[in-house]
Amino acid sequence: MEQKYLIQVGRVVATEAKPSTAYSFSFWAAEGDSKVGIGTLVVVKKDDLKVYGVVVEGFGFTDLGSAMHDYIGSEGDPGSEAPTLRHEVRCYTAAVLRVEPEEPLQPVPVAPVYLADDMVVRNALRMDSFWEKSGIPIGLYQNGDLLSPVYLDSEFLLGPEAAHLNITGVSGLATKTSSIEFILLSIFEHFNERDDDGIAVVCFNVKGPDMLFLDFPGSTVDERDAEMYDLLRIPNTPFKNVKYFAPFKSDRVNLNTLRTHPDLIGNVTPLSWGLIDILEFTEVVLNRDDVDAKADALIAYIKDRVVNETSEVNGQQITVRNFQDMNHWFDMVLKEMEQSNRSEWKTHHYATIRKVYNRLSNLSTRYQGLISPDEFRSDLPWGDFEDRAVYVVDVANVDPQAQDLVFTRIVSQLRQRLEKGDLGVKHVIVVVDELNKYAPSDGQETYLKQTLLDISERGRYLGLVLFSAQQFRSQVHKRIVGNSATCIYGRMDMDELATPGYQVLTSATKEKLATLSKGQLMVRHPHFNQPIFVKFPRPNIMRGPDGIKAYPPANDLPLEEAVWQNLNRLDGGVSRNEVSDIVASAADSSEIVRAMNITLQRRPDDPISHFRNCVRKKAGVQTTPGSKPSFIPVLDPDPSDPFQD
Amino acid sequence: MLVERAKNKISDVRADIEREITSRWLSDFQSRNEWLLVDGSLSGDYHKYDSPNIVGVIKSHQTQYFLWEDQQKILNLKARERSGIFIPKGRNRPDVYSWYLRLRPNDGRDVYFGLVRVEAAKCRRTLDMADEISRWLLAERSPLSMPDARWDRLIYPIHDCELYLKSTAPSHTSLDSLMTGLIA
Repeated sequence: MEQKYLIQVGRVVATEAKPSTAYSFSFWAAEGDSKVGIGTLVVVKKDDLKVYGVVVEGFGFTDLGSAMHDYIGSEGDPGSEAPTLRHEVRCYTAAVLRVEPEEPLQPVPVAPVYLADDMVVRNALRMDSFWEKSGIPIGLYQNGDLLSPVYLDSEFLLGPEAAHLNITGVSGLATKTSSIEFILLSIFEHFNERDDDGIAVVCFNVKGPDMLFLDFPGSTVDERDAEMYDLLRIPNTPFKNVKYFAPFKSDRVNLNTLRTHPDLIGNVTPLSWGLIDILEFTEVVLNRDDVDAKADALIAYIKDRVVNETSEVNGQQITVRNFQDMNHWFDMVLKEMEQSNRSEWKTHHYATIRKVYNRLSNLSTRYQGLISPDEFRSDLPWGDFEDRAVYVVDVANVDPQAQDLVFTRIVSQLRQRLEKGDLGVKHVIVVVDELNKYAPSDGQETYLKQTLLDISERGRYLGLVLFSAQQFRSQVHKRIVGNSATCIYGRMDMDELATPGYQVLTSATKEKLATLSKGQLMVRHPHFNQPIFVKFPRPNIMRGPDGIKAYPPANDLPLEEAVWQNLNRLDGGVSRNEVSDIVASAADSSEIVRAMNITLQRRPDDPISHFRNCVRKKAGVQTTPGSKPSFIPVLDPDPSDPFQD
Repeated sequence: MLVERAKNKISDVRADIEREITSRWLSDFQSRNEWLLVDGSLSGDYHKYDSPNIVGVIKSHQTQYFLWEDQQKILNLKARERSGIFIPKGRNRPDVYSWYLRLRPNDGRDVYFGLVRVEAAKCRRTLDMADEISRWLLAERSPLSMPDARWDRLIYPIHDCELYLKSTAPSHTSLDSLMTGLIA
């Protein structure tokens, strides 16, 4: 019955020189408007046997033995047209994808060859076993006018069977970012898990405005794309739930991102970590040579006994909650040692304490904007991750060391939370572009590279999945690309295709890869024995450069203006004069920054009063000439203290 | 002896078939403006038609129709030159008009290189069309019928036809096995 609807395109040929095997066969195709090409799916049918294959090589020839014969025949005139044309035959080699029944496995018989239809595509790619249960549409396989959806198995894309996805392609052809966006939209629509599971995405925006407008529709979706969306059953819309995070600039007022247009900034949360957050990542933020065994022991002591604890030093009680407190704690410890003339404090040597003091206290300066010196902390919503939400962390303008810290800490938190099951979702996809830069096959070991390796090797058991992209796959750490069960290739550079990693591809496939147009991809997936070419529609998402044009970034605001604008966003009735008075009354600008950020984070009903209460006032003491003012630190005032003036 | 008889038999059968096909083609297609090219001498009932659209091309020159002096003129034909029209004698069939045509230059090669003999029906139209028919044949020199050894005289449509017939013929291996079966 099925055969009646299939279009016969050729017939298997087997010669002594080129015999059929169980894994490949050749066939000639009809002249004229044949739909066969490299990547075409075909099926050979003989009685009950069906052999599914994908065309991997093509060659055409005539009975012409030598170019010389043609030259002589044309009498050296290239313009001459012969009245009788030579027969031209087009032969194709196909790699076997699947055989039904699977046993006994025999060479492909000489039999008719048919073009694949929807059903054949499903069977050829073994999608019949999973497409309804766990299929994620990756694109459309085109067979002439027929477009058949191609599915990835979510159990092999998002775990637990296998996981991770890696995309390779040259820049500027809308392959990498667009295809990742499209696949994420597809996952959000088609991922079927139990209701209480859920999936979220954490994207690291590492260059320009690439991923800063994921919640805005693009303007490039045409009718053809819309039809493809319908066939794939994916809504033609941008992401509905996107949250953006970015560290501050060094002024700790303006965010270090390009998404600072007044209409959009409200959706960007500062990424500002305190002492407690980064203390367990000291090996990332400190120079390895600095953290010897002695320093490590002191840091461990501080972590266990000092931070978030009330301890007694030099007869004084002190609670360390932030860098300012820690600096004060170090001062007290050193003072105690100096006064008592001791070289050791709780077995730690004076020099070690000085060294660790120096390195830790410098962190808030070195990572200005990311590490907060005071108690203000702002982070991803750990524990409250939402299903089908995208969390974009913009680290494009951050220096490499800070990027290391951001990646390492966020991934570490994701892993810990997923392990404990208290993240809010059970699956997280981490998206990282530019792997050539962050996980090169050579070059020094970085914590970021180690983190990426860790996700790719152990993530799938936890539901932590890496979607990575790069321009040159051959130059990425082998274990990262090797652990990616699904690989996608866009248009490739011929130099890259000449590297050993692509030896398994036929020369025709390589040539097709080198000339792929926008929106075409080659997919490798555990269920597919051979790479498959698919088309995908452009995601209806505003491209970064378009976003920057539509929403140009705002200029950096001076402190007083920033305070007024930010508080005004919480409550439209905040007056400039009121803000000016409070700013003038503050001890210094860092007080204003701290109070503003805390107010923005807590979002109180009466922002201006809360802001006023958070600001520590100038002492108001008249200085006496000749007398030294004494300095008494005020530790960690509670902004919600009703008795504070 | 047996092989020789088999060959002769095959040759006779083939000649019969050719004759039959020619006759059938003339009966079915003569009214149209289409021509039949025959590999070899004309056969069939072409003589029953006033101006049959049929041309034969003979590549082998076992029969010499002229004495040496005239024959020399034929052998000295240059490429794209033809001889005068004559009526070949000695065959038991209705008369035809014939002429020699040099398809390719034979400089430095043997005298028969590129030389074919053309046959057409004995009628007024053939006399008028001899040049035109010659031009048709000259046009068919391309594509070259390589790797056939007779490529200098074998025009491509005939080569193409032979290729088709060979592809449908059983292989020597199959024939051998059939013969073995018959003998057994």
